[in-house]
Amino acid sequence: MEAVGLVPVLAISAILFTLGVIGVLARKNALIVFMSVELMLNAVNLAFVGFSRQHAALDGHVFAILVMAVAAAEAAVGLALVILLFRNRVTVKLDDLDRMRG
Amino acid sequence: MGSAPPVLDSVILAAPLMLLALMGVVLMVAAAVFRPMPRLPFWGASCLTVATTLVLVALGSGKPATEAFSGMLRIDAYGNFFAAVVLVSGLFSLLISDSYMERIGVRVGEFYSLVLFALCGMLGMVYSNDLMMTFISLEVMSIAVYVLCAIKRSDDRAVESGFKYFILGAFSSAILLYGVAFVYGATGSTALPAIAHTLREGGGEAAGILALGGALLLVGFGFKVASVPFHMWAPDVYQGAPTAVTALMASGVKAASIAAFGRVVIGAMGDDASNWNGALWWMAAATMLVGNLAALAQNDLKRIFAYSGIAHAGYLMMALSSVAAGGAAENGAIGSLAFYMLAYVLMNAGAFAVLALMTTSEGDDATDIDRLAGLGRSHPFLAAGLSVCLISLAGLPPTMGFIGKFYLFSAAIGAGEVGLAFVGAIGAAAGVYYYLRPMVYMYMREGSPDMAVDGRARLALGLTSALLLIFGLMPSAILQWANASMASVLG
Repeated sequence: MEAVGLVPVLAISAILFTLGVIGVLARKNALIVFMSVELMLNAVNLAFVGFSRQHAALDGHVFAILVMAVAAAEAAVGLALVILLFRNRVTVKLDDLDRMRG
Repeated sequence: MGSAPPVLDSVILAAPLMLLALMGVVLMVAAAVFRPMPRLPFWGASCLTVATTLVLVALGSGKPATEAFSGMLRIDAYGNFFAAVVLVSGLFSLLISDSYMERIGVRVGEFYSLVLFALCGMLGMVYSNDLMMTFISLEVMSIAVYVLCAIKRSDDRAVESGFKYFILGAFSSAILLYGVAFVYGATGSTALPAIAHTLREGGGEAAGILALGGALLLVGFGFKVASVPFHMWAPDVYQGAPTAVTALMASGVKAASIAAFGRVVIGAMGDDASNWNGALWWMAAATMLVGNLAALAQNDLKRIFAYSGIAHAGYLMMALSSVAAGGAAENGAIGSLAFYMLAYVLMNAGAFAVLALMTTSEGDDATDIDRLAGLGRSHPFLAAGLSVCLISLAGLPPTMGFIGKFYLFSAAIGAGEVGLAFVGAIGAAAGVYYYLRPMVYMYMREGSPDMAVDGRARLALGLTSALLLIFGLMPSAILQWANASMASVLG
């Protein structure tokens, strides 16, 4: 099988990352926004792995695993916060988060 | 590189981090075992841990720079200085937190454990010599702080603050990490010295990818230090979080982020700084202006301090920009960044010690500026201490804030950044108004302020205001130390 070059990998990574950014900025549901952040992190992983192959080095692969570990820790805290939010407000819509203003 | 030192040597070199992480785990387990939490042992153990860590950092200072964990960490004077700054901020936050947490009705041992984890992450950031290490330490710090923000689970403002911080923190971390990925792609390494080396050789083969990576890093750090245009999360998060946690966010988190940012700008991108300086210039200028002007319209003290923190991020970025531009060394003002960081942490610690006393009998934070009315008559010590901190924040003599601002601006002018210094001066002039406004309330309005009684908060306030005055009148020792620390990273 022909090896995939760097450019398609980076292109897919960029598309995924952009989708994630749009999701964070445009969606109103806390869970969807949270998923979009995870999408961004996975786009980064793809870029790391692609660059790692380009450099014929292993460290990029290791970084991807490190990032997954961090993302898992972040997910644990993030989901706990979403649950707390729901308990206090009975909503996870970001538009309703307006208790503070100045 | 030579042969890598054995792991044990690295562990000893990184003893401050190890101690914080170890005690964080110990307290986390203890919090699960001893319920309800015995307050004094937990508070005492965490204070003792931070103090011991501070001693370890002090013992390590003066030694030549060493790399630990295969170059992941660089234990040098720069790291030691900022580690001390971060630990001082942690110590003051702990000092005000015990009775504050009791007042707001949060009695969980995890609080202390999370503070230690956050401090461990901050230390990782200030010593970090590798972009991946910076990212991981940043996450160790941030994840702990997300939880700390929402530690009062029944308070929907605190939970909202924690959630907002989490979403924007995770979002900006992802952007930062994408930047790391591109820098790795362009230079083949994430180690700061290796990146600097590649850049000196001509920037690697992919200049476009490198520029993109640099821009993403700048955006990511911009979010972390709350610089304009990435600052909008800070006021809500600062206001909603418990005051003791806000104190840590406003001082320690900011110091660690600036320190890591500084290492990347000065240590790695130094030879590519010309690309960065234009962007840094605009960000610093906008941050100083927007932060100071937006603070004018605020009536909640925590929001005022949030915007003040944004403005100060601008001053510190001005210092970064002038160090990166070069020329600051001849002016003797190269240490201005480190010196001002210490001043900033002390003034915030003192101010937040007073804010932490402003709780209602129901256990809510009530930090409206009206509640300071008459404080000068009813609580002369608190009013005097807060006034010293505010005068220092405004940059007026005879305080450390004045000396710090003086060196910041002379560094900028020495580096040829006259325009930036001018913008900063306008911002600082506007700042004088909102820093002096609480003093007008304290001394010139009638009222009967309702402040909690807490000896340790008073001790924190007394210590910080005394230090601000002492270092304001005799800055040379700290300044020398600051200069040496910055010199160690310029290499």
